[in-house]
Amino acid sequence: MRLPEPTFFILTALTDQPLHGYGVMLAVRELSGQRLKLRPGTLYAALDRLVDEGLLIIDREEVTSGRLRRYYRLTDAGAGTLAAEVERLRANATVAARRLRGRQLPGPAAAGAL
Amino acid sequence: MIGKDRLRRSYQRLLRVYPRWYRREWGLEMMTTMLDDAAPGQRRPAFGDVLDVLRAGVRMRLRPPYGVGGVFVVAVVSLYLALVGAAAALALVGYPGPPSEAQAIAAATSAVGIQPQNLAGPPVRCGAFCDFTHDPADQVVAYDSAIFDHSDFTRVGYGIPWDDATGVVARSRQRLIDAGWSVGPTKTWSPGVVEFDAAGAEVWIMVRANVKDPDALYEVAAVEVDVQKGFSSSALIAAFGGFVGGFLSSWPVVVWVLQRHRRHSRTRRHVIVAVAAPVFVVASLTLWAVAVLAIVGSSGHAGDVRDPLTAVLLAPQAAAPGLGAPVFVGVGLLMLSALALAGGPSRGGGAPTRTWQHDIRATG
Repeated sequence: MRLPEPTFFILTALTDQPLHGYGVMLAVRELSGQRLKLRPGTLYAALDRLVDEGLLIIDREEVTSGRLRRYYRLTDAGAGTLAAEVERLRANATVAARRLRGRQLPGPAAAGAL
Repeated sequence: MIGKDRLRRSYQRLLRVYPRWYRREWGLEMMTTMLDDAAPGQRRPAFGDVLDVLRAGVRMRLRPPYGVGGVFVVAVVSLYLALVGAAAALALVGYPGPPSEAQAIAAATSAVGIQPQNLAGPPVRCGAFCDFTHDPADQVVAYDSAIFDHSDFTRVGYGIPWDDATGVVARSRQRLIDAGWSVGPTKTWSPGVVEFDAAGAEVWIMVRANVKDPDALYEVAAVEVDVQKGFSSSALIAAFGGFVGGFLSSWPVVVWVLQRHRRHSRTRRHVIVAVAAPVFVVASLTLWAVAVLAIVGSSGHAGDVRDPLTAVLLAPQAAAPGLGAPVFVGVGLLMLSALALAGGPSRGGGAPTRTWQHDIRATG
């Protein structure tokens, strides 16, 4: 199953430990090098769908001063899906890198590709 | 704290774009996340966040659950209600009524090549049916019905020799083809009636060769030409508007019913399905009939060669005589029942024990 980029980074953010919504937001920003900023509508649509599909599960809830934080945990199915996507991307990247090896690339692109 | 309160109230208003059940389940958590992400001193939601939440909320209201099956159910029922909307709009605008005697005679003459004979007395005008006392020598009769308002027509009869009737119909068909009319195929019905229909610029006609029946209750002409008026562009625009309006207004309602269905107990879900299933069956059959009308055409009255858009928009009225008013009333009652069952209290399913609005007010 091909994963959209926000979903990929949400699953990646939850590989080490459960996180609440804001924690997921911050982790995704950091993991993507500040490139991907998850907004609340997109984040919770993704979390809702991933919980429905069984890739995430709600680990626990905390209510403090009238604020609710739910912590999400990656399930085994979620980890398997993420691993499969990593393999797919790695295979694609390997093919592209091999083809680029014989081509002159300017500056940093050359070092990154090869 | 005043700025934070103002921001919280802004987020609260923004989250109303989501359905109530979704706000009950996710609202407090989303609010918490948005407040955690707010910059110090921020008083209003960021524009990007507003757009993002609006988009996601509208999508939540319009997205059918249950995957492809849910989309199919919502599409079928919404298309059916769109056709009902088109029919309602046409009924409000009003149908054109039967053509005038002069218009009918002109159309019939274009087909048959000669004017009708034996026109005696004033024009005869009937409702859905003519009683048996009408003058058989009067060969132009207008049928103007309140019940079958969509199919009012004027009939022009030709008193030609019976054994020449089929030949007249065949020559009429060729004459109309040569004149540029849109002409349908010739059809033969037991016990030997031959007919075809054709569409011109302003009228639709059906040309028919009857069979002489000495035992018939009343006389019919050997060749009859039924003429119907075309629809005005304003009527078609109204019908199209009714179609679009019906579809756009029913889609979110049907999605709401399916989303509520998910949140009920197993027993209630089964009851909702049992009540709503006949609605789905009627909707599917009606859409099937519409598709047949639009693509293949139907037997019977003039207008079978009308363009597919017109056929689709007029199909609810065409299908209704077959199904009958009681079916429409029954379908309407079942829909209301399904709405009431779905809208009743649900079992929740994963929602926090305290309501999110209560918690917002309690925040210090």
